[in-house]
Amino acid sequence: MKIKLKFYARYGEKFGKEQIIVIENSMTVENFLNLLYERFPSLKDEKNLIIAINDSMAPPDYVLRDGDSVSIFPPPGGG
Amino acid sequence: MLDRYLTQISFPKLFPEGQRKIRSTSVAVVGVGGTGSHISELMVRMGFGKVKIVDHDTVELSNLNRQSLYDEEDIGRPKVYAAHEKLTKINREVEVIPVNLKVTEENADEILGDVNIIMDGTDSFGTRGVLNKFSIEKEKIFIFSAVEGSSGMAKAIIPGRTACLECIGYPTTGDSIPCSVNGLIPSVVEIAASISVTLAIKSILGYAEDEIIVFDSWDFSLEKIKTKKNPHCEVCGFKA
Repeated sequence: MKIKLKFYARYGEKFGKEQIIVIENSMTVENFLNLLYERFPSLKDEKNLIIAINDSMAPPDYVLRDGDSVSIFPPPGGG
Repeated sequence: MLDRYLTQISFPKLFPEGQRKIRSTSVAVVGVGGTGSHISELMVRMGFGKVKIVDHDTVELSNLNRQSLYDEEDIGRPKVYAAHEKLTKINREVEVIPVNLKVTEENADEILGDVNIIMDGTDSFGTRGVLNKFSIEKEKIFIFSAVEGSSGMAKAIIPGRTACLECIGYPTTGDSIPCSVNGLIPSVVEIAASISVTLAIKSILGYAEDEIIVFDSWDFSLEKIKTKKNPHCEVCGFKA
């Protein structure tokens, strides 16, 4: 299964803006995130990731499908 | 009187009742720094009935690149008084009220209890948490916005209808990383303010959607992410 992974804002600079992640079996968003922590160890230091699947927020137990797009945003804090 | 607002009332979505609704709406802009100064200026220009500006900070030299209501002669002055001076010269039809305080859980009702909409101009996760919780409890519209680097987010939080900050997993305690650390391009501040004011208008006219607007002023991108109220949310979820 191919998942399009998009990192936004400063995450894009740090981890790369867009890439395809190939996974063998379908998995939940939570498990996909754990996979990302292995690929990008410093992602574990980031707190309160905001995660969207395709164009919607999705719960951690959402099961990813082939072609899904996972977007990860850091929470901006400034004003 | 309406001559001042001719261009906006000619905009189809605001014609004919929109300006009346804007005139009868009171807002509080919490934080009149980057986004907050642009938000409050735009809302005063557009003729919101009452614009309460809330901040406990003073003007510094490093503010002047992006905080539109201040100039070099304001350095060292409390922001709300410098802002009040500028805003009242723009539109005397609008009641502008300066409040030189930091919003906390204890004083939120006293400061914000009399307004219809709370506009986010803060730079603190914790203050946003206070505003989010207060808006849900007191059923007030809260327009969230935040910026960092060249990007930002904004969302209309309408109690009982849309997801709140807790629903979307946005942090609601502690301080955020200062923009002097991660950087902030001034142009994104104006974009955030423009989107926030549009969200406020859409909220009072019934056009607001349950979504987060995500934008980047370097990449020139804007996306909308659909959100949904979480029925089990600790802040806005159903309580038996």
